[in-house]
Amino acid sequence: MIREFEEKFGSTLEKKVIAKNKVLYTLMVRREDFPDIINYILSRPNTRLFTMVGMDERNTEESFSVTYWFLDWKDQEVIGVRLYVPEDEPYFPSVGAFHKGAIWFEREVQDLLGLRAEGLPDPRRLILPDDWPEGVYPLREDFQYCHSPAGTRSYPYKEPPGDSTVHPMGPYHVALDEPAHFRLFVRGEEIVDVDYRGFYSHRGIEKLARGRLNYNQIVFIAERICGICGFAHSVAYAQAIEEAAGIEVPDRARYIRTILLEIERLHSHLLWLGVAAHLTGFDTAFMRSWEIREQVMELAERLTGNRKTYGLVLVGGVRRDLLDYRKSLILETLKNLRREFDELVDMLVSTKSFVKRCEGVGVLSKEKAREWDTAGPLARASGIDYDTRTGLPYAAYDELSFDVPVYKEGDVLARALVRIDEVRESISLLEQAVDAIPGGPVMAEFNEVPSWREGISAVEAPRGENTHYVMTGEVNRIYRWRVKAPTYNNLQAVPDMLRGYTIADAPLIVASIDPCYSCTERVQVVDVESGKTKVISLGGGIGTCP
Amino acid sequence: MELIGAIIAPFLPPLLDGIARKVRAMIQNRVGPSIFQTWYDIITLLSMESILPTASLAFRLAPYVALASAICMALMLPYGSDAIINFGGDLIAFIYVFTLFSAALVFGALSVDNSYSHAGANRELTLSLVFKPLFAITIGIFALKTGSLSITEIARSISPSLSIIGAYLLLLYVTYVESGFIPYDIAEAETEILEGPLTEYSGRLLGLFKWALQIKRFAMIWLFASFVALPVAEGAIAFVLQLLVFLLTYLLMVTYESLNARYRLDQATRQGMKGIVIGVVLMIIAWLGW
Repeated sequence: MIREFEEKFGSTLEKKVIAKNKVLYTLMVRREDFPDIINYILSRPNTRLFTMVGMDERNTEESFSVTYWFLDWKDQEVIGVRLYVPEDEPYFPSVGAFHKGAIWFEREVQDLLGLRAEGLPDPRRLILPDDWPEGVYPLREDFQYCHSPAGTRSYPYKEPPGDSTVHPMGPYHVALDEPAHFRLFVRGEEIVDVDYRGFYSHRGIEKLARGRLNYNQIVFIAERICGICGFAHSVAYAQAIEEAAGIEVPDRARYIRTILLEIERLHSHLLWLGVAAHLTGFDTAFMRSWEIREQVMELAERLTGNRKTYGLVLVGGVRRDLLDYRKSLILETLKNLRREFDELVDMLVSTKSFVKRCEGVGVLSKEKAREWDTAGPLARASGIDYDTRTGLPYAAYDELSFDVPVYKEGDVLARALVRIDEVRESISLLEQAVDAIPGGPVMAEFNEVPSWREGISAVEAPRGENTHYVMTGEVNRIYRWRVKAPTYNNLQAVPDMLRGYTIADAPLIVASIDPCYSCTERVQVVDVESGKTKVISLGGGIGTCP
Repeated sequence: MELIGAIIAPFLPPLLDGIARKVRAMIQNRVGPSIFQTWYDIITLLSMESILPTASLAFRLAPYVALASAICMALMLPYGSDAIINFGGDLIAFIYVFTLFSAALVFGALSVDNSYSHAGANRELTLSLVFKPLFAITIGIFALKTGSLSITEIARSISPSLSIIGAYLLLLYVTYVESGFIPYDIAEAETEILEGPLTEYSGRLLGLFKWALQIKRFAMIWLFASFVALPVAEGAIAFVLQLLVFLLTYLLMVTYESLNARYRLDQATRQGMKGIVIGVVLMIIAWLGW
């Protein structure tokens, strides 16, 4: 992808190589070419909008910037296109106007940085709370982290079309594990349209990291973004920093990361299977699935000391070595797991009432899945052959062999089958990794992380890719850290999946993307008593607010 | 005998539900709560104040109507050879109070402004429109073959024939559906519409509804047990046999329930329509004399 792009547009762009297969181009002149450039990249067959980063670079470049990052998962290459947006004229041409997958990204920079995308189809507020005042942009450098301005509460919800009525699902609903607000516009039981309001869990974790935590502290905050795929976040972040600083991670550490990533996938998929069964009222399969999952949790505890939130990753490697005598424990657990999982799958697919509830429900066509840049099992169930583990290999995945299951049906059943196949692949991956793990150190030697370097990295979390972008700052502090979870893309496709189905299907369809709202919204520890964020004093009081 | 039956009928069902929970827990490799748990729940709820979301009288009356009709259903059934309420034509009254139960659920749900509760009412109504006629047709076959409109009379004088065997199977099916077991707990689906018609109920009124639902479930299965036991036995033996058939049916239903996922409304009504077609065919067979 990079070569063709270079030939076509290279002459007018400023080029910066980030890594072997990652290049950043900056548009200095002819801003009107911007939509054409983006359109060219997106029209290529195996390309997706990877993430979009808005930055306040007024200190260094006297301007804001937006950078669209694209991944070609067949060529395994990443291209970034950067556009500077001056402070006195904070406008840039919208990509969301012709590519739906960019809509949330552009709504986000509008909320957090005050940069407006011209031609954005849905310019409503996305991230900031309903009572946040207009004109205050929390991610700007001149905004203090602890500042909490008061405003009046209002939000422009969509009006229900025609003769439909509003059926609110959320912000609190038994079938949703986290706050999210789907306003279903229904005629009888049929859903005709959907409005979504989320980001109730947004706590400004990226702002917290800026200038406040050092590189190794952020690893642990990153892991706490999610209670289920946290390890994937911490690995993605560490990889991005390692890329920016040019740190070579030892082989043994890469394998240990792989092993834990796959263990995390096992527990997450088993959890999802249980939830799906529960939502259809099939509690026996729910209990059985979670019972099997318990072995995986115990295995993780034996290996890392924690059932979840392993706390294992540091920039440059891992904190604990995998003791050799634990290898047999892993293999034994896997053997057991494989047998019990097969029994569970037999029970699920032979239960007609369960299959009937999933088949042909919540269909997402391949075109729609591409438009929204969906990721993970959701994309693979709709016929998109994309997995970050093969699309942009990291850790030890390029040295192990595995299949990427792809289904064409695009319904809830296909999503379940993708996850079932992936559990089996994970078991095989773990066996290979345990067998092939090399000896040696688990931490790389390095001195200091250089300033103003950029890194972008992704990890295939159980739900799709976790993309982390970093720009290093001065005095061992990060300048910009951008987290994008797979649910960020997948959730935007949910209204398309709900339309035409009934409210009976709604919880199952929403759950079928395995939504992780906190990931999407980037959560951080909240003190329940006062409702205030708590992590402020981390790092020995650097940059603490009064 | 029928006195004993009448006394246990309202109080046994929550205990049976406790046993069902235990069985379900066993199937799912869990320990499960005590068998008195459903009773504990109901007693707790009965002692709690209800929060009224509306001033409507229908909302407050619905649980009492439901409980009264459920108890009425139970009292019309034979315990041993006789029933407390037993008169020629009590079958019609039974179908009437049975429908009244659903009606109470629906008007209670419709009296509040809540889309979940309305969705539940809508589902209950749709299911009633399919399965109440199916029940009437099934019972009608028995009535036609025995020439009586009294439940006890019918139960005592059933003799096997082609249509009767079919009617038994159909009755077992309707009983399962009307007992609200998964896959047919559609109206109260918790993960979909938050218990539908019951979503706005709390405290005492909710407790009454839960109790009434248990009694109705008991009555439905007891009716089936009576139709099986009474043709072959009398008096105390019949009562013991009823009890055995009841327990067996109940446990089988609970087991079947825990091996299934919930149907969607359209799937359930399609099954119900098939049932009605079969019922009508059986009715014709019965009329022809087989």
